Amino acid sequence: MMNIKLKNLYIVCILMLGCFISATSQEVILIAHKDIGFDTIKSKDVKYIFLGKIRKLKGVKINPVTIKSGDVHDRFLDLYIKRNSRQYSKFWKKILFTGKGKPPKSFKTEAELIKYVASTPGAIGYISKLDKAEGVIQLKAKD
Amino acid sequence: MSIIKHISLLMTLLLFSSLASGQEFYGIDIHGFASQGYLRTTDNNYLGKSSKGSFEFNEVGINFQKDLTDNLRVGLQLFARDLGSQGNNEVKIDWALLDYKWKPFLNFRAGKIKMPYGFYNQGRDVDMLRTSIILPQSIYNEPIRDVIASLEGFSFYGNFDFNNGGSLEYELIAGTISIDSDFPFIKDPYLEIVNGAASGAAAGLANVPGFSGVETLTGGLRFDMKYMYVFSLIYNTPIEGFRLGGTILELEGDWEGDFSLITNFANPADPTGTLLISSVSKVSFTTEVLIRSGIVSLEYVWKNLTLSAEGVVMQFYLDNEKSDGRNGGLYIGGSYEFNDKFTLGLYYSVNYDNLKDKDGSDLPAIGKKDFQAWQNDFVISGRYDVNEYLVLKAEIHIINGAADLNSVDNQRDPIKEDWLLFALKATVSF
Repeated sequence: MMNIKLKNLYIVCILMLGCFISATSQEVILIAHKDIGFDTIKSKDVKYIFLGKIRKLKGVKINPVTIKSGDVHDRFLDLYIKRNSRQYSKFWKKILFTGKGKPPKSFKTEAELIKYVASTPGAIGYISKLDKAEGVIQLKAKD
Repeated sequence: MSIIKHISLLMTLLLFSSLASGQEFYGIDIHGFASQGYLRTTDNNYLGKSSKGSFEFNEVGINFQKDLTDNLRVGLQLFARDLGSQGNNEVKIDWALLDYKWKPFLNFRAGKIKMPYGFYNQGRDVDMLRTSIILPQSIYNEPIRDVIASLEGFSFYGNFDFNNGGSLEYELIAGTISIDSDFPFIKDPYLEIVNGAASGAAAGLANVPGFSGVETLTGGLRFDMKYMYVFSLIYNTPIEGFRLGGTILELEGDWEGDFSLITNFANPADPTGTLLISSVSKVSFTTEVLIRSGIVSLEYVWKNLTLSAEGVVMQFYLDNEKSDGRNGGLYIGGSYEFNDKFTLGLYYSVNYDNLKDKDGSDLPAIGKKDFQAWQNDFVISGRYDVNEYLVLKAEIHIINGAADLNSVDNQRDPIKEDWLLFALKATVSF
């Protein structure tokens, strides 16, 4: 009887752990306009692009775009920018209201972001799944 | 400002909060913010008539920006604020500039440009950028806020990346700025001179038969700034989130003013004291003022925790004579985001009017209390983000000392050494 209870407890724990892992390790896929001219990008360049510190990469004018909120946005910020969403929002509000620049264009949904990236030369963004992303290429990040 | 106007402002805040983020018309991005606060002190008037509670504490800004080419951007921000006798909701151009981006290490701005001064001066008008309501006064002193807000001139700035050695950001800005005669930076010392002259004249004439007092009549006052430059360096260390900074500032200008002393005499033989004669003497002064200031800053952001500390020293020269003492101060603080909504902040700030007389032992000789030499401020702040656009804050300051109190707002009651300041603020941005 005790063994059955323990087994059930293990199963519940493993299921919970599985849910936790799938929630926190959601994939972040970097995408770009198909004519951007490169398919790999340094992680550091991703950070600098989305913080507005570089505007051109390999001779191409870069146009970064973001998702307004959600898991893929949080994961992207954690992986590449090393900030949480509030810190990232405050960073850009400071830039915006002190005359230093404008934040990246942002979209409510991944579908809107994909549509924009597909139609805008130099655009770079991120999504959670590649299967519905038409007209864009995937960028591989490297350290 | 009447209470109705404050309610109108609050309604505007709520309207703004219902808007989506930023608007775009014909390629011009439009963004704005508005805040309304309330200040109350248990004793002393600080940043206005705070001892009875003051709603004269708000900021409103709206900006317009457009990219003309890939490298060239134009923008303008209109801004109005009220803080006691400062601002009075007069709309001004906060910044208006051309920004040309050439290379990451060298870019150029021209126009009216926000000034770097420590890590947080450029964003001080924008309440939602920080946890506290009032920035540490040891560095971001309110009486000089309008002097260090922005500068009309040129700026060079850029960023050097050292790969795994971090990166270095710099900004050099030079120009000048018009300073209104009612800025506390020049008005407060002027009023101290006027009151000091009246006290001196009264003391000198006290034994003259028939002397019945001295009145003052303020006259013209102006500050013509010749130049100001600021150089700022920020080193983003290889430790993620840890940055160090330094700022140096120098400004020079001519401070000119005049006032009249009216000396009254009565007939000493007349017991009713009927005024017999008044003597009016006009006093004028011109002083060349040079100010040099240096700030060191550090900040560490680790996950939801932010720690920061800054220190400043400011030296005045009057007519090329180095003033006896230097102003200075420092603060240390931090904030922690418990979740998406709530952030708690703490800081301790201390500043001295004269670093050579920290205990104020020289002040009683000039009619001041010793505790006017320093101001210790321990602050607890709570921030609640209702959503991305609306922020509510509450704050308490436990203060010892009175270095930052101005004499004009504190003439009626004797100033107190230990006092509390409560502050509330609501801010929206879009």
